[in-house]
Amino acid sequence: MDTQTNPNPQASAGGEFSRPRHWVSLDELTPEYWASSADQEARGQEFLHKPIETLAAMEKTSSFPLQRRDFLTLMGASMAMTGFACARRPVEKIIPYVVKPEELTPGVANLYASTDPGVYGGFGVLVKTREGRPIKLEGNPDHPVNGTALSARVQASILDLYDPDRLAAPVTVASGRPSPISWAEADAAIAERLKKAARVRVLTPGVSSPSTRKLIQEFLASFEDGKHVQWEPNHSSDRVAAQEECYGDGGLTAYRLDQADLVVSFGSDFLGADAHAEAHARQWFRKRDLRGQKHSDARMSRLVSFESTLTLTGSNSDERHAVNAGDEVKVALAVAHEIIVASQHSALAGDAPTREALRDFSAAKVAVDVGIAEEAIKKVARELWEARGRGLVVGGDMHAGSADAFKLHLAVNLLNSALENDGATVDYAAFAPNAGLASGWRDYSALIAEMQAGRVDVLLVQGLNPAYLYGRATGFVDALSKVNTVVHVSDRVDETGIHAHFVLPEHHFLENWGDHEPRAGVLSLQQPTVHPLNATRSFQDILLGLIRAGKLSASGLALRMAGSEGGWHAYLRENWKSSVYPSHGRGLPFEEFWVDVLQKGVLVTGGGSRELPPRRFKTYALRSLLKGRAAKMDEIRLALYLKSTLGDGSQANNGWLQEMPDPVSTVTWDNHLNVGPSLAAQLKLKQNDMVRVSVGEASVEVPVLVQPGMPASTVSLAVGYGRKHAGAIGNGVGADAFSLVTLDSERRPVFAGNPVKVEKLGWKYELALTQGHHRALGRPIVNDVTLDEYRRDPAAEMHTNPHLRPKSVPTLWPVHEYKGYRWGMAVDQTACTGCGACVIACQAENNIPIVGRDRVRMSREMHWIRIDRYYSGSEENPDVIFQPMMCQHCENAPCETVCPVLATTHNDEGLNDMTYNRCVGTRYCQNNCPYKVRRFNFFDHWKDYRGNQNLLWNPEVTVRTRGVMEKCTFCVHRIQETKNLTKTEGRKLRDGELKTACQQTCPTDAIAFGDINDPNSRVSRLRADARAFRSLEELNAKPAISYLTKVRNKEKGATSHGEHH
Amino acid sequence: MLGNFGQLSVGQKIAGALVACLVLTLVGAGVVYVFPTASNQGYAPEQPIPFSHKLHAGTHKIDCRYCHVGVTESRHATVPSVSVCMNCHRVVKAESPWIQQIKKHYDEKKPIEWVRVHRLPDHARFNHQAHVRKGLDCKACHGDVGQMEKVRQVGALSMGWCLQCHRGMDVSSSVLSAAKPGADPAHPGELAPYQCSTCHY
Repeated sequence: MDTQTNPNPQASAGGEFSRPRHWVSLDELTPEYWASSADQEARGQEFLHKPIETLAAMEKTSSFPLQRRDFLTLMGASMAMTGFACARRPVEKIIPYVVKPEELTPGVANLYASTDPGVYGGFGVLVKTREGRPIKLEGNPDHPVNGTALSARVQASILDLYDPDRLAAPVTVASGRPSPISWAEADAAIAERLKKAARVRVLTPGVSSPSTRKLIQEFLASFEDGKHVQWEPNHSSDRVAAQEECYGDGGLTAYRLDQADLVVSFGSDFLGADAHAEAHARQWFRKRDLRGQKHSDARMSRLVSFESTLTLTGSNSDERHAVNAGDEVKVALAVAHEIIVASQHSALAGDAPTREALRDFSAAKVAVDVGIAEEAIKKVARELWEARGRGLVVGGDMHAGSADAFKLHLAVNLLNSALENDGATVDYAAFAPNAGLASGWRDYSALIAEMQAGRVDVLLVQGLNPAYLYGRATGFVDALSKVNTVVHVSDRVDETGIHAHFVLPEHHFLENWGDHEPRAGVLSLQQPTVHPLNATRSFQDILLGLIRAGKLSASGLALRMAGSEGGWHAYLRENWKSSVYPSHGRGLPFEEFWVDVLQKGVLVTGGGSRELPPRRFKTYALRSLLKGRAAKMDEIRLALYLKSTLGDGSQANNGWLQEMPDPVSTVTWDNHLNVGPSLAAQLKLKQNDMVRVSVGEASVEVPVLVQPGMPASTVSLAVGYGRKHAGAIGNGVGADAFSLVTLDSERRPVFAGNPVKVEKLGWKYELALTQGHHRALGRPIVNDVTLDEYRRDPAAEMHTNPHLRPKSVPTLWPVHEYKGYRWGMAVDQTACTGCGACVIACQAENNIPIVGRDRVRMSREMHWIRIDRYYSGSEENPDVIFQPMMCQHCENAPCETVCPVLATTHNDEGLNDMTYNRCVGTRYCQNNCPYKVRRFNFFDHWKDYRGNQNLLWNPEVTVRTRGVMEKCTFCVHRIQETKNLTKTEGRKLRDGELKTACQQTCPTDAIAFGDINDPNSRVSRLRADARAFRSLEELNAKPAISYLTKVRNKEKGATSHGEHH
Repeated sequence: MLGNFGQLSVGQKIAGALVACLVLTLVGAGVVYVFPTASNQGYAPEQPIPFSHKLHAGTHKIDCRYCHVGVTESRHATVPSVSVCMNCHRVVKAESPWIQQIKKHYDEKKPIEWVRVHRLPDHARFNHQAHVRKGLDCKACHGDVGQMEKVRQVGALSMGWCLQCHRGMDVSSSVLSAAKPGADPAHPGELAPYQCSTCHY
């Protein structure tokens, strides 16, 4: 290898150290790393683990009674014995139906349209069922909110259905100990208490179902004083409240990211942890898609963000500024000052209260205060003004949820109104009115006060775990003890359940009926796709059951339906018959109308938006900006944040989500304190150091992750971990950061900006990262250019990086001929937001097991597709690139040539086939794969499946056993299925009809897959795009996957690093 | 030597047992290789109801697809549900004790547990629809079921047996007697695929 292609930065600079352009870990930025890796290689120690040494160490420390040699002896004997056991094959039964359901053919999947209620409004899903069991969720293409896209969390929710830790029968709880009772007993006991009760409260998250809201109201009409409290912990209550303050119209707003040329985020993670991230990503990318645009005048929207921890949104920003937690509001106000006061722009320029409110926030002053460049603020202000009406300001998710969060939302509203974005890119008419939602947090606080005062007789909690959701700050548990009867409707006895009197097990959404109104004029139906697996009931049937058992005087339909056999299903139909059908029945008989909507899954009655008059910003709202301005703070501050993988922890018992690498840090199975490199040096903290993090009295113990892109004096920690009553998977994973939430003087929760004490504990804890396993070693794997460079030369990077485009290289191997189809893929790195939905979609589709924290540490995770994350630029504020990496199905596949048993072979459609029953597990292929995408089964992972979980398996994909290699197959079973279909119909494959699981769920359509022998297919056209390159092309493996260079809408070298010095 | 067995150390005993196991395994493997009985060719288990294919498919010439409805639309040919039996046997020979038993299953909604005859080796996939679509006669693999009182496995169902046809055979001019010419207009004369992933995935 000549020095030209030598990737070692040290050598390429002739002894002087030069940094690699893209890097994976901070270590790679030090000369010592390169010296030591060269040194390690020279000493033959380049491997991560040495198997013999590792085993020897395990033997010494293992508490397992069996030593390695004994184990091998016994294993040898048992293998020999199995040889005898095979003599006669076991008798197998075939048990057909007694009466086969008409719509069901064994071996053929059925798809049902339904709705995942998720967080407020939910998503349209198609539920794939095989022989009556749901095995996969896909987005409903007819659904206006999410289309085909589903997030990782929704993809993973199918695993929750088969969770063996789900509660199977009602229980009574006495001093934290549950004991099972029958439904009849539960009904009778609770109804008895309800009959005597006057003050009854129902606490739920935001209910987007019109029929359920109606039923709850009718149930509550039985009582002298009944109230429904909706608290939606996944939407910032400040955001909703600020709407009311500024416009007199409380409620949720929707973003029209597909109308925005410029998005400025002040601590919003709308592309990551936000419950509607996939819908956002889908819209946002419509303005950024370069595919099909002429390069010389290509246009894409721009994203600028100011944030206190490196989120997915920040990672995808064209320009990102790290600001300390709680400072977002100052920057937002400085931008407003710059536009309205300094530049005298907008209709508010002459408004005295506005000028007065903004007086102290000049760009110069805030820049010094916050520690970012004054010009950065001025530039954003200029850009925002130029893009008025086509821009969008968003802000204030959990990591910006400081005591000033409400003010931040006021500032965001002020900016959007001043810039004429309100009504254009801020859609305030998108959601159907739901009075309960606007007053969520206020009502919830009031409820706790009522409970404390002993003024609640019966409390019914459904769909929430308020004892876990910063229960320490809210005092919810203490308040619960003052309520006569607490009924928790939940799928498990969780942190709240152990303090309740009754826990009633609830259906999973795939077992239940329902309707949802995710947007005004969009009605989405939910239908059960499996018979309830346990003796559970829907929340709605529980209410109807209580009305029946207690002979309660409920009003209207609920009273009528409580007496009928049909329960909630009949109630829902009746409600639709009287409320929806008359105006949208199109003259069809009701039955036909109902079946039609059920089949489509969604009924669009309006344009997805209400007709509302334009609204005015009430500058009076800004008066609260003048009150209690936060002083400049020198202490280290804490930002709590939601991980895009686990969210608020309600799905903590979901192993797929626990093992899904966090897109930014690539950590699995733990939360960790993110500390920036300079702050870590200052605090003498190293990666994996355990620290005690204290806010006031409360503290948690967590490991440190040195995270590039953190602000100078903010550390961040994810919530959603440290569950105690989640189940076998989720219990005790990580630390409960919700315990660090405090309430401010107005009893609003404070998630960010609190001063924090970080103490080193003196011991280490190894985080299970997936990023360090495979090292880039400075090789050109990913590509990024700026928009200007791209406009000048679409293949810009190619010319500057000679080893990406080798001239023809002679090959020893025969050239393959592809006569029929030839499968290939093109992945647009500009589109990939790194959200990881593909990872979980692949896991569900291909029966991929989880392996647990210890084995991830040994780099034995089994994911067939991973999202590699590369940094470039400064470690204080790097640029981030995501690259989905899976089997490249190389034409000259290095794995094939080393397999001694021909278990992995090239097929005549360009696939790299993997034949499991031939594999003897030499792992040569894994060693020889330059992309490190092959996964070895060290254990029979399928044996770890518990309870009903084997019902989840996709029968089209082999469940792999111990000792075989596996990897991405390009969803070969889908290829076979689709080819079979085309042959049955006697036609050729239509482009786009065949989608891999990862491609199907991708919100930004980053992945194209198809026949590259067809020059007109989408994938062929993308592979011919000037941006297309193949990863590690210089190796001449000729991958079937092309990547498209990432293009950023920013100026060359425009990063905000160095601002903290 | 056997007399001394008790004097051997535990390690020697285990080692001896292991060697014996290895020898036996090798001998066994050799036997299986020479006489491939493990393929279960000829397997004809007793069924809970002595259903006669000879009577139904042979004498009465009921089309295979009347009962095995999945064969044209699914990977599985499917064994008929009890209701299919009752379509005729509500009337036909309703008094027979076996039919009475079927009726009992039907009335009690208890499925019949048939004993599986044809079973592919692990990790291999077979699609009935694809083969029937090509016009392949069921007999080609299953033998003349219409002459069988009790169903018997005729083909070896081994990989070599599959490849007899798949390796290089032109399906449209098949030697398999009942193949309908031109059954697949989109791909006339297409060779049967024999990629690894045709069956293994």
